[in-house]
This record gives sequence, C-alpha cells and structure tokens, in this order.
Amino acid sequence: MRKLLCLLLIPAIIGCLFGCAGQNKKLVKPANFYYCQQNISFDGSNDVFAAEVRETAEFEDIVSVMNNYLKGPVSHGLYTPFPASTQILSIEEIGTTFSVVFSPQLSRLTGPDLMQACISAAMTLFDMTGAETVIITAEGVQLDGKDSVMLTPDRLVFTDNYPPEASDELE
Amino acid sequence: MVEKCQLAATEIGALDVVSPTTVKDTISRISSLRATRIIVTDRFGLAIFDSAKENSDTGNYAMFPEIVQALKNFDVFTWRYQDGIMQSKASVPIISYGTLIGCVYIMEYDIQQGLLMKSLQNTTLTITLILELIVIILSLMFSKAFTRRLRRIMVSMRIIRGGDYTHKVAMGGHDELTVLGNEFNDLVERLQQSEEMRNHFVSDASHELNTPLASIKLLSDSILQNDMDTETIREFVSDIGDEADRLNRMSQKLLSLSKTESDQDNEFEITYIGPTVERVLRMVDLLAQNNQISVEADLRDDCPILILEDDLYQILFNLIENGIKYNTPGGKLTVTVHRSEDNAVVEISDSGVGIPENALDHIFDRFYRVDKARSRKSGGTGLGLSIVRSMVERNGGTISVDSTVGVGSTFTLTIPIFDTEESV
Repeated sequence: MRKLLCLLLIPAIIGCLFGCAGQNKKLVKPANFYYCQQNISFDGSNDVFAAEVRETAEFEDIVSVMNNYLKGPVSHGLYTPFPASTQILSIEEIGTTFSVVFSPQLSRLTGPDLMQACISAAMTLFDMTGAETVIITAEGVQLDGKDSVMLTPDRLVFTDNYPPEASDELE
Repeated sequence: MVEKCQLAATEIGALDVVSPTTVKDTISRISSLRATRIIVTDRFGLAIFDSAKENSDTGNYAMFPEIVQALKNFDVFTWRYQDGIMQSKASVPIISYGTLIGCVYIMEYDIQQGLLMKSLQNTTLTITLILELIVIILSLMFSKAFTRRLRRIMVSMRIIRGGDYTHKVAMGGHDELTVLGNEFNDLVERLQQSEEMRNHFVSDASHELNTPLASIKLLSDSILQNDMDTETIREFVSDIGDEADRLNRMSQKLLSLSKTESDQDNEFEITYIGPTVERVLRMVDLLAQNNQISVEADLRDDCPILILEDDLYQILFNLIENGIKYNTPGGKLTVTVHRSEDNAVVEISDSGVGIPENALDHIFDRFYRVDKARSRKSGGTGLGLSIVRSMVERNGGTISVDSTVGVGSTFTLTIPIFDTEESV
C-alpha cells in the first residue's frame, strides 16, 4: 500500500515542482535589448531608441531575462530609462498579450520619460517573444495617472516618413 | 517655423478642454499655420491630432526625436537637405496653467526650396570646377613663363661658357629671377674683368719677356755676322749677360708674385719693423753711396707686427731700393717708423723725380712703369710695387703713395701692431 502511495505521490510532487517554476518560453536569441540614446540626432541617422544585442539562453525564464535587461546597457551612448532598483515582478502571457507587472519604482517616471521606459521594455518583449500587445502596470500604484499602459507595435512611430506625394498642405 | 509652433501651442494651451475636436478646430482657425504636416500630442507623446489625411498617426505614440525633446520642455528646430528635398521640422511644448500638457510638431517638406538648394549646389560645383580649371591653366601658364625665363638664364650660361663674356641676360620684372639674372650679370662682368686682366697680364708678360730675348738675339746675331774686335765682342757678351740677368730677375719676381697671390695659407711670426729697416738700410748702403743719396732713418718705435720677416724685408727693400734708384744724385731718402693708434706706420720719402698724377693709380699694376727707359736702365722689371702691394694686403696692411713731380714721393705703409703684452 505504501509503495502504491509513493508511486502516486512522486509524479504529483514532480508536477507541482514544475508548476511552481517560472515560465520558460522559447526566446529569440540573441535578443535585442532596447534602450534610449544619450545623444539624439535630428538628421535621421538615429532614433530615440536603439537596440543592444545580448546573448540569452534559448529556454530562459522571461522574468529573469527582463530583470537582467533592466540592469542597463553595456554599450556606450545608451542609457536605461528605468529608475534604479526597478524590477519586473511578473509577466503573464495570454495568447500574444503580455502583462508585465513592474515594481512601484516605475511610478517615479512621468510623461515622456515614462513612455520611453514603457516603450523600450515593450519593444524588447515584441522582438524577443513575438508578443503583439504589452500591458504595463506597476504594483499597487498608478503610472502618471494611468492604471496601465497598453502598447502594440503598430501604434509606435519613431520617425516622420510622411511622403511628399501624400502631403496635403493645411489651408 | 518655431513661431508657428509657438502660436499653435499658445492657442491650444488656452483651451479649456484639449481633445481631438477642439485641437482640430483651433488649428483650422489659425490661417497662418501653413505646413506639410502638423501633429499635436499629449504629454505622453500620443498623437491627438495629425493633419495628414493618409497614414495619419492620430492615436499612435509619435516618438520622433523632435517630439520627445519638446515633451522635455525644449523648443526644437531642425532642417535637412537630401536628394533635392528640403525638410524642416519644429516642435514646441504646450503649456497650460504652468503645466506641460503636450507638444505641437510641424514638418515642412519643401521641394521648391530643395530644388533651389540643388541648383545652388550645382552652381557651386560648376563654379568650383571652372575655378579649378582656371587655376590649372594659370599654373601651367605661370610654370611655362617661369621655365622660359629660367631657360633664358641657361642659354646665357651656355653662351658665356663658349667664351662670350660680353653677353648679358635681360630678365625684366621685379621677382627673384630678376635678382638672379642681375647677380648672374654681375658675376659675368667680374669674370670679364678677370679675363681682361689675365689677357693683359699675358700680353704684358710676353712683351716684357720678349724684350731681353730680342736684345740677346740681336747681340748674338751681331757677334756672328760682323767682324768685331775682341773688345767689342766682350762688350756685346757682357750686354747679353745683363739681359739674361734681367730675364732671370723678371722670372723670379713673376714667380714670387704668383706665389704671393696664390698662397692662401699665410704664415705669420712676430717681427719688429725697426731692426728690419736697419738691416735693409745696411744692404742698400753701397747703392745709396753710388747714387749719391743720403739716407736717414727715424725709428721711434720697434713696432712689432705679425708678418714673416722675409716678407717685411722684401717689402721694405723694394720700397727703399726704388727710393734710391729713382732719386736724383745728391738727393735724400728718409725712412720713418712710428705708431698711430693700433697701427705701425712706415713712411719712405725720397726727393726724387716724383710720379705724375695720372700715373699714381697705376704704379701698383704689373709691368707698369712711369718712365720705361729709366726703369729698364736701372734694371726694373715693373713688378716690384705689385709684389709689395700683394704682400702688404695679404698681411692685413695697406699701402698708399703721395707724390709731387720734381719734389719727390712718399710711400706710406700701415700694418696693425701686434702688441704682445695686450695679447698675453
């Protein structure tokens, strides 16, 4: 009887252990970590954001990858828009939508600084995981008056490529 | 453009409610706001108005560098010209009741201005090419002119090398080549003078050497062709001997003069003028007696000078001997030695026939004789004073002459004193 009980319990315990572990998703490697440019040029040669190529394991916990991302760039000319000691507490994946919960430090940012932080994190996730929507929240606090920031790639525009043919001067 | 942005930002900032509708109405109301594209964002960079009818970014996050900077409370103006298109961008923050609530972004896409820039670029390029072409042509012309002038000098050099020392190079102008041409002409002039002097010397030397030889030939022919008594033959042979002696003296003096002029490594020793004068006077004493010349010496100082004693002896001997030879019987010769500042001065005065004024400038020339007949009779070669001047100048001294016909001549020799006490 004891043996039978052991045989039933061991698979259950192993199953529980796997359930408690973080989500191990297959990641694009190497990954593009997006940060802000220290010196923005207005001649069209670079944007507000720039990617830094970093190595990631093929199957790595996405939260630890993102927390590693939050530590900042190693390249010259880039800086992390996140306040010091900001952490990602959890990432929930529902289909192609990723809900990212940051620690409350993120709420120190406002206006364009907040958007630069959210967009750079979202772009990193878009590239790395193939996510189509990223919803960003901070635990227990609002982000500059908003409960959350929802971002999709098609809603982000970085350069004005307005074609002259389509120009329609305002009368 | 920035003013346009500021105008729109002021109008929007004054709105009670900022919404796509109110912003659109406000933008439409500002008649001067003509631009290719106008975007109005909220403080997060979310476009709440975009004038573009196609590909409008309304509802998108417009994170253009200009907008991000404006949202950080900076006024931005940029322009870019590329491929014939001029693109200008400006953005300014919208402030409402002291709070930043968004920004206005204006972009102008000006093809006309771009074409103007392109035309300007092409014109500049064309002008640059034309200027370069002109510079190249001018360089070639200048180079050719320079070479032509240089070639003129080269041709002149060849002509002069061929022996035509009268040739002069005519350069013209006021540049370095003109200076070079003038220097070249001066050099040729000096060469010509030197050549003339050489020719003159050769001619004189030939003539002077030929005279005793001709006499010898004439005398020997006379002895051979005529029947003479022993006494006459003896007299003729004696004359031949005298002419041979003159020839010998002349060749010796020519050698001495040549040596004096060519000897660059001058040797010196401390020599006292006084004792040397005394030695010379002892040597010419017999000659003076024979010519009935009274000699007086006023040696106030020994006067040490830097010169080889043999040279000083030669100088003094020539001058004193001349003073006796070209004197009149019963005449007088005075030798005075004294100091004048740092120089030793030797004055040799005679009461002889004197030298005509027109001959004074030539008496130091080779083979020049004031009275040729008298000079030959007295055994002169016409080289003594040339040797004297050459030796004096080689030893840092000067020689001058002052003479009055019928009264006498005074030769003044000046040589720097070598003061042993000061030198030590």
